Order: sequence, then C-alpha cells, then structure tokens
Amino acid sequence: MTDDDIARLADSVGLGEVHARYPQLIRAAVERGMTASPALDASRTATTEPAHVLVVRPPAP
Amino acid sequence: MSTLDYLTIADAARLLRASQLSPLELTRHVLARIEALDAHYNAFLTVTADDALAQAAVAEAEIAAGHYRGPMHGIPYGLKDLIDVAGLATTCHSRILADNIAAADAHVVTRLRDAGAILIGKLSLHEFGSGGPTFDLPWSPARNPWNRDLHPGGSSSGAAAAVATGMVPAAIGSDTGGSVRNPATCCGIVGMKPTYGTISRRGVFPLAFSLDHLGPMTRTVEDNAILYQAIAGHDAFDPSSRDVAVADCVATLRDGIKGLRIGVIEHFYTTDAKADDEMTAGIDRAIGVLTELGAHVRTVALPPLAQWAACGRPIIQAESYVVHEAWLKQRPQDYCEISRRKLLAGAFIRAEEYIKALQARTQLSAAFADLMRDYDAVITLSGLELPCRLDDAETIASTYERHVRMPFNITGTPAIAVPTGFSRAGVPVGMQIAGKAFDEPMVYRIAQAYGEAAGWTNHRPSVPVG
Repeated sequence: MTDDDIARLADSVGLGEVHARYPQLIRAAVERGMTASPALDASRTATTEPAHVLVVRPPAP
Repeated sequence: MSTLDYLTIADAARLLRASQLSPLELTRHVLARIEALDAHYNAFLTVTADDALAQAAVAEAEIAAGHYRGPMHGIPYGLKDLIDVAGLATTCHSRILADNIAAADAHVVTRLRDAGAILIGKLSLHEFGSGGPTFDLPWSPARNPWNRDLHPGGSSSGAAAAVATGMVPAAIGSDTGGSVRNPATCCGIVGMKPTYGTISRRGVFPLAFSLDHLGPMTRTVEDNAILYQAIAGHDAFDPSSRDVAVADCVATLRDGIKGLRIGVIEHFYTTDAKADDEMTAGIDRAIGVLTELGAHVRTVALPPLAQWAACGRPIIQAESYVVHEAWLKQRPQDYCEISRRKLLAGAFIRAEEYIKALQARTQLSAAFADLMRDYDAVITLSGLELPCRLDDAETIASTYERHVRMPFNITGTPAIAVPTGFSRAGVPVGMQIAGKAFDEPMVYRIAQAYGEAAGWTNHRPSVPVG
C-alpha cells in the first residue's frame, strides 16, 4: 500500500493525527490487520460448512 | 535461609490453624523479604505494608479466638496491578492510569478478604496486559528469578517473579492468551487458567473480554488448588460469571491417575511449530512420568496451531481496541511503544474478520470438545522457546506470536502450567495440562500426581539474600 493509502485508511478510522505522529506504526498496524482475513479464510477451507451455516456461539464453554 | 522463605500455603495453613505460626510473624517475614529482594526483581509496584500488618493482626486475633476461616486465613498474597483494591491505584503498569484510584474492591479481592487472606501489594505486568516487557514506562519490568537478565514471561510478570522468589506464596494473575501460564513456565512455578466464567472479573481491567480469565499463581499444585477454591464461584454482578457449583479441587488432589486417559497434542510443538529441543525434552520426560503413574497416554490431534492463532489474534485485537480507542487517539504518547503497536492493530480489524474469528472459535471449540469425549485431559507445551534476554525486544515479540497457550483461551477450558525441569543453562521449562470445561478437579489431580512424582516444584532460584 502507498503512504497515501495508509493515510486515507487511518483518517477513515479517526487515526489521522496518530498517523501523522507515528506513520510507521500505523503502517505496521494496517499490515497486521490485513493478515487477519486470509489467515481465517485459510482456516475455513478445513471445513465443508459454507459461511452462512457457520454459527457463532457465546464464549463461555 | 529461614524456614518461612518458601513456606507453602498448605504448610502455613496447618501451622496457623494450630497457632504454631502467627499471621503477624508470617506477614512481617514476607514484608522483610520483599524489602530485601524486590529491588533485584521489580515484582512489586505497590507494597501495602501497613494495611497488611493491620489485616494480619485481625487474622491473629480471630484465629486465637477460635474463628479460623479456612486455608487462606492469614496467608499473604499479591495482585497483578489490573485488579482493583478500594483506595489503591490500579495502574495497569501504565502512565494512562497512574492516578487511577479504585473505588471498590474487585470481587476476587472481596473473596480473599472473606477468606482472611492478607493483601501484601500490587504486582508489575506488561502494560495493560499487552505491552511489555519494556523500559519506556515509569516502572521497570520484572526480572526472571532464575537469571535476572532474562524475560520472566508475561504479562503477569511480577506475580510470577514474586512467587518464585518467595516474596509471596501466592498471587492472582490474568490470562487472555497465556499471561498466567507463560510467566509461570518462565519462572518455574504453577499457573492455572481456569474455565471461563469460574472466577469473577468484576473490578478487573479488561484486555479482551471474551478471552480474559483470572488465575492463581503459586509454587505448588496443592497451593494453587487451595487458592482457586477460595476465589472461584458465581458473581451475579459479572455478566460473564457462570452459576455453576464449584467442585472441590482439594479433596480429589491425591486420588492418583492410574487408568486415566491423557492425550498429548504433540503436533502443536513438533510439526505445526518446532519447539526448542529442551522444551520438548521436558514434556517427553513428563510423558514418561505420567505413564509410570498408570495413565494411558496417547498422541492426539486437533486442528493445526495456525488456525488457533488466526482465530485468537483478531479477537484480542478487536476487543482490546474498543477498550483503548479513545486514549490511543487522545494520548498515544502515553503508551509504551509495544502497546501502541499491538493495540492500534485493532483499528484495522474489520467487522467481518471479527465475526469470522468467532465462527472459527465455534468450530475449534467443537473440535476440542469432540476430542475430550475420549480423554480425561490433554497435555502439550506452554512456551515453545526458552526465555530470552529481557532487553531483546525482537525475540520477545516473536515468542508472543508463537506459542501453544491460546487454544485454551479460545475454548475457555481449564489449563494449568507446571514445571517439567530445567534447561542446561538452569532456566525452567514447562508444559500445560488441560481439561474439560469446569473439570478443574481433574486438571489439578493430574498436575498434583505429576508434580509429586517429578519434584520440580521443590527447586528454588538463587537469590541475593534469604
């Protein structure tokens, strides 16, 4: 992602000023966040359940 | 060395009940040891000496009058400094909350007051249970009792260091992705993350609400069970608290493990992620001990470790960002660099990713429950690496990306970290014993049998005095 992309993304979540102060940190946070979905999608290939069937249960066992 | 230095809760309770030891004597001893040692280990943020002595005087009078409350009566303990005590600061080891005076006791503190335990002070941690160890905060990070140059594990670092050095016999930590079990392993003590909802979190500063657990940290398994028994139970004012009868974990401690079925989740630390050979040697020795004690030990399989990590990470990031969003925007400079890096990542977790993670959590929990239909407990490693240098931020960060503790935060089921020996360099190694939801008695029973047979909890670090 370009620096401008990162800046726009930071602005969109109200972190524009934080980005101005810590640009590398925000870039790292964006890149870290971007890994979440592919990792979860990779996990999902292990199941035959389509997404609309998967349910979320409360955290307590 | 004084006979009081490493007195267990169980032994102290017997002496206190028989009036062969005074709560004041024990409390004065503990306070003197903290005075002598803590500058070397940075375990305490606050020592409440006057209050502790006042509580000890009350306990002494009560026991002398025949009003013995139980095995925590007169026992000193410490609290990770994200747990509220009325009138004391709950700093979370952060500038953000440096002046945050608690208005009321956390439920767990109330339980321990009712049990007659003596609060000694508040213990250091990674900032908010996330950012650390670090040297860019007002308080220095805790150090490893076995080698002060090494990381003691986190985030309940001070709790583990204080217990391992005999500054207190017991502490309460918190565990969102291993923060009780990791320092317990690094410091060679016993740390329990019980079933989600068994210990109230009212009055405890959250990291990620659906993964947060409180847990007891002690030098022996028996002490851990005693402390757990004192603090577990329903709290109507904590929405996550479960109204389930607390089974007696102490009564069944010495029932033995002959015939029990124990699975070994070996792929977590061999093929999914390669553990340090000395860590693996420790659990291999433990498998031998469990087998000799009569357990049926079999290798078992769960979904790969990467799936558990992929599930847990966005949940922690999203839930913790909600807690910190306003402060991160208004005063980011007041966080340590590690906290800023970890917490800001939550700003970029999208709703669909959080929901996908919760879906994955359902599947993973179901896989664990399926496995546990055929087993009484499972074992696996706790950490994959030996503790590294305290000032090696890069290596420490990598160890928090690579560990075997998150699965049991995701399932919410009990897991205890116990020592399995020492590396060639004299650093503790350890493993986890994990059980079914609400089956803490089984987890403690196996840990006790293993601990008694292996004897690793009897080893003590070399400290500058005492």
